[in-house]
Amino acid sequence: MYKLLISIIVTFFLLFSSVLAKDLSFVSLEPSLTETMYALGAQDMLKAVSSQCNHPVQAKEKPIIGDYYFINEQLLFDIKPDYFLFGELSFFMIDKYEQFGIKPVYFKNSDIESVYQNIFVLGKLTNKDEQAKDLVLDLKNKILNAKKMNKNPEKKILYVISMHPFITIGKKSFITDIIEKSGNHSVTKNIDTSYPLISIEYAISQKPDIVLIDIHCKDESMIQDLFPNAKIIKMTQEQTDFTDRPSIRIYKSIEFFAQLGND
Amino acid sequence: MTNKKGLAFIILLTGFILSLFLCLFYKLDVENSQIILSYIRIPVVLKAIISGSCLALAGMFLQTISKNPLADPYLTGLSSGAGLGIVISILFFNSQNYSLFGFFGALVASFIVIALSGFSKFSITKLILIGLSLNLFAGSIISFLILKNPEKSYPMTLILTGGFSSADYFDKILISLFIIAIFMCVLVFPKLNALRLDTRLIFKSQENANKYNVLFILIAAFLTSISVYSAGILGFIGIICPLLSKLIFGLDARVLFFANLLLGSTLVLFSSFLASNILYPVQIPLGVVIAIVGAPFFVFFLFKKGGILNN
Repeated sequence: MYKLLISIIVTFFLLFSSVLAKDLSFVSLEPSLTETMYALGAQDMLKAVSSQCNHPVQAKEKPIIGDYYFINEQLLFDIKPDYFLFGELSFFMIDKYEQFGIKPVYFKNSDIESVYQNIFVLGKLTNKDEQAKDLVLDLKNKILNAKKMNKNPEKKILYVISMHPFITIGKKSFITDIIEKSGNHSVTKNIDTSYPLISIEYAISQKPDIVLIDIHCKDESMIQDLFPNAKIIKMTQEQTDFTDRPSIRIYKSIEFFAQLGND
Repeated sequence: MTNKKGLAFIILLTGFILSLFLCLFYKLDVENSQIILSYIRIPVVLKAIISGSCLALAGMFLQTISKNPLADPYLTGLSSGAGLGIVISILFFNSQNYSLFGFFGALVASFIVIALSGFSKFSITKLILIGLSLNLFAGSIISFLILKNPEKSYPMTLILTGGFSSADYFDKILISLFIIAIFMCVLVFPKLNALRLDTRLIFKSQENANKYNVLFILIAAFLTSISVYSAGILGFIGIICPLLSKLIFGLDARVLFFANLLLGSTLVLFSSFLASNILYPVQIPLGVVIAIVGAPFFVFFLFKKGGILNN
């Protein structure tokens, strides 16, 4: 008899929590957070996304709330979400919506650990803690397997975001963390910013084994002349799409960086 | 030239050679010296000399004809025209040769402002006001475009602060344009001594004086556009160098021509050296260094006895 009672109570709580969860609504300005919402199965709670949110493809069908700097406030107040998810770039402009009952939630994206943390926080907010735990566990396993793909570790990598001006990745960029986790090294890992403007001479002096060029960087011929002994790899749009984003697809980034020196 | 001015000229020349030496050989990595010199340092030195001397000469022309020590080479709406050209090239043409777009943007903006100022009924006040309007108009479009493209806002902001990062390194077009501009300056600068005085006394009519005014403004716009092509939008050089050279060498345009060439080049070369080395390996945008070095200089000469305010 008491088993039946417990089942009824559990069912009641599950139903009650799912009703609560259904009532929750979110708006996301960060493509990586949008991806996580889908991975958690919380896509129905997501009422609008930013114009940069293009993954998974279904996200493109959601109403566009704006981008990092411009918010369609009319749409925002029509939706009146419970939570407004945002990252570093929009940090200065979101807090003001709290007075209208829209709770801003800031997510840091500096390293792999912060990706795990973000999944847990989103799991908590969407009442999907279990799914979040499973997702993180799955991600950790995938990352562990990805690391094993590096047959020729300790390669020195120079990641070029822009050639003119010469912008690369620094200590605070999550891409640096991913390169280190893949078993290789970023030659600019000691520069204490996210995306520093640095001296090309410094990059040459570090003698990188591999130079990775971002999709938007055009002047490859000059890079070949400046780094004659390095392997030059021009990234594709698809590769840039997952390396640029601290999302649940970071294991793909680690796979990519781990396999760079294998040829 | 008096002994004092001769000494000042020697000091200036020494400063130029020292800055040149620092930019070329300071902490040069011997192992990669050929690559570093040919791809990085020599192009930077050339661009620094071209941009510095062009801005200084343009400033000298504009300050003389407007008889205003605060006249700036970007007076004719040129900076925002250049900025808009650069931003459009990056966003819509995805071009690394954005400085060429900046050059054309600057030229187009100048011609619009000069044309609207009226060739026959030309007045400096009209020019300044129309230039200001164009600056505000183009400046707001630049801000909007940058904010609408956050993924490119960081490199665009860096480029707009000025520097030698453009892909047009060792550009034959740039050097050719510079030679043409210097040749034009050599042809016209003796007239500058006359424009310094009351034009009603020198020229037969105001219309005749205006022709020279417009000619000098066009050459100044051309010089500034070359500077934009070379180093983006650099402030202060075009104001400080003409003022400083006037304080040191007097008012003779023939002497000032060479003084500005040297002073402009030296200031940009030395600022470029600082920009590359203060926080090495991190680079400080050149425009930022010039402004930090230039602003205290400017204030110093503003309040100096016999300085700008007392002239």
